[in-house]
Amino acid sequence: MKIKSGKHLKNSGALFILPALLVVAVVMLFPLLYNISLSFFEKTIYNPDWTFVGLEQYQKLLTGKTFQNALKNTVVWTFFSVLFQFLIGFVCALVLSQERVRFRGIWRCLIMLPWVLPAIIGSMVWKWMYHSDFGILNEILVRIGIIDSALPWIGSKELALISAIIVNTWKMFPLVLMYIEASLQSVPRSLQDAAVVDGANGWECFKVVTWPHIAPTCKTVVLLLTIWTLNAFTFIFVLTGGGPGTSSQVLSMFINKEAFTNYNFGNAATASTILFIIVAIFSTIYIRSTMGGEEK
Amino acid sequence: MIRNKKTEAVKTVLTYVFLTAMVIVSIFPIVWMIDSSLKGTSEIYSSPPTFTIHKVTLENYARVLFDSGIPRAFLNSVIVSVTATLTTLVLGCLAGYGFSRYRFKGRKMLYVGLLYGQMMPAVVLIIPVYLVFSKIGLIDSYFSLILPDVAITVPLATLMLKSFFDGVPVELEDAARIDGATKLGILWRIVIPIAKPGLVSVAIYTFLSTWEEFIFALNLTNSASIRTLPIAINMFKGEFIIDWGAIMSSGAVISLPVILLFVLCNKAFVKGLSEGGVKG
Repeated sequence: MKIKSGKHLKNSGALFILPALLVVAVVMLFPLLYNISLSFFEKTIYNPDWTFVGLEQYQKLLTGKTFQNALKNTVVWTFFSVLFQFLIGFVCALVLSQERVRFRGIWRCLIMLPWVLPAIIGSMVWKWMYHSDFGILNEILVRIGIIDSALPWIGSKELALISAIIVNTWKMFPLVLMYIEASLQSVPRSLQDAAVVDGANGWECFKVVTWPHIAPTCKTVVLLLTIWTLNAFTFIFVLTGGGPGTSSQVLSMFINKEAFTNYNFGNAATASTILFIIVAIFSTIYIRSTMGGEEK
Repeated sequence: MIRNKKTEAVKTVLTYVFLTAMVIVSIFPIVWMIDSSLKGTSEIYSSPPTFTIHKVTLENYARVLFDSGIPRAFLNSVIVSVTATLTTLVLGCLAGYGFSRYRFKGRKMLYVGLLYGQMMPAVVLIIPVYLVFSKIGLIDSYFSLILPDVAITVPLATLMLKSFFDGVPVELEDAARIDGATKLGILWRIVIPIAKPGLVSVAIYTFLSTWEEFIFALNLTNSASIRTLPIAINMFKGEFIIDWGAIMSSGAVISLPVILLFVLCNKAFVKGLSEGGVKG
């Protein structure tokens, strides 16, 4: 009813979109296609000319230990980052949106600061807090009795990836809080009141009234977090550089290293095409679920 | 009734305890960054570390401001982020308006394309962009940073602005059209002023993302005259020695503009992003 005014149905609308389209085509669509085509060619320092090798690089990568390790780390990295980001953000949103909370804006603003801080700074500060000799984190955790003795954090194969997941969670949970809190505000007050009058306790009220309202947002947020975490690069690059060894090597780190440290551009293009396919799958689910309402 | 009041009071206390704990977790690293930045070398490298500072010193800030690449990188970051943000806003407004008001061939396909563009991993684009830019001699220029920044931020900006423009009544435009206003004039004088809160949140979001953009800046710049802040701060990390005092003080310098921006506009921003962002 808003948009159907007759004069608006002209093709001239495409002109408005053209400039943005051009930039996206030049810096996204073309590189993407170029990247996919590169993945069928080999280029290393020993073989600086692009040689067509077909699917050989895919086969080598997918059966090779380093790539499998990066893939496995990516699954762990993404799953646990998203899980913690969502759970913590969700609980925060529930607590913050209670009617009893005063100065909600100030609380939200303070809790959201990690998200505002550039990823590189957040990662650097955490790296400093994780420091084996001068890090404050071990000091605090030992003092309050959570751990008995200092942990090696990013310096150990077992803890490196977990350390990065902690930083990613710290940086991104505020965004979950913001989205879920906004969605909670759309739950009609009258429905909640009605449920209470009918004798529902807090949990029943949440299950029957609140959850159905916020479930679509939760789904969207989880998908977005998954995509962002798959794409994330700065945290691991700064904190561990993928190490020690390859213990925290994730796909984005692997790709950057293959391309710009080993100059193995063909291999890197192959790996990034695989990453693109994974992200595209999640993007498709995301787009399907958001397009339902608005754009038919 | 009394018991009820009591449980309510307990709930209130628990709520504030929880929120306080979350605030501490959120801002402690930031506080620790500032704390460390104010310590002298002997104090910063003391084990065990202490929160209290015996002798507050600005030597780290002096080193960063007068004897490092940070001031120049700050200028570079401002140039890149401001140009990219303005460009994204202009392109996003035009495209958002086009999607909101017009029905044309291929519209749905382009719209879906934008949604995919919003998710595109930068690490997938960096290799081809690097190869093409180095072939045509664009590496190490402002343009080589601004263009990818715009491309990465334009899809979401367009989607958000479209949903804001959808909320502006078309009738207002019809009236202006009868008075002889051009299409661009209508967008500029009628639609954009009404959608201003949306514009603010898109601008902040774009600025924050370009300010922290890392992977393009890392691989597409190599001279100090182009290098942006996230890369310059990484330079304090030598192969064997890391100058933590300098990193913490430059971290504070780099974070200040974005924190200020956020604290000043956070209401409009939160509203805008939650209305336009997730719902697409």
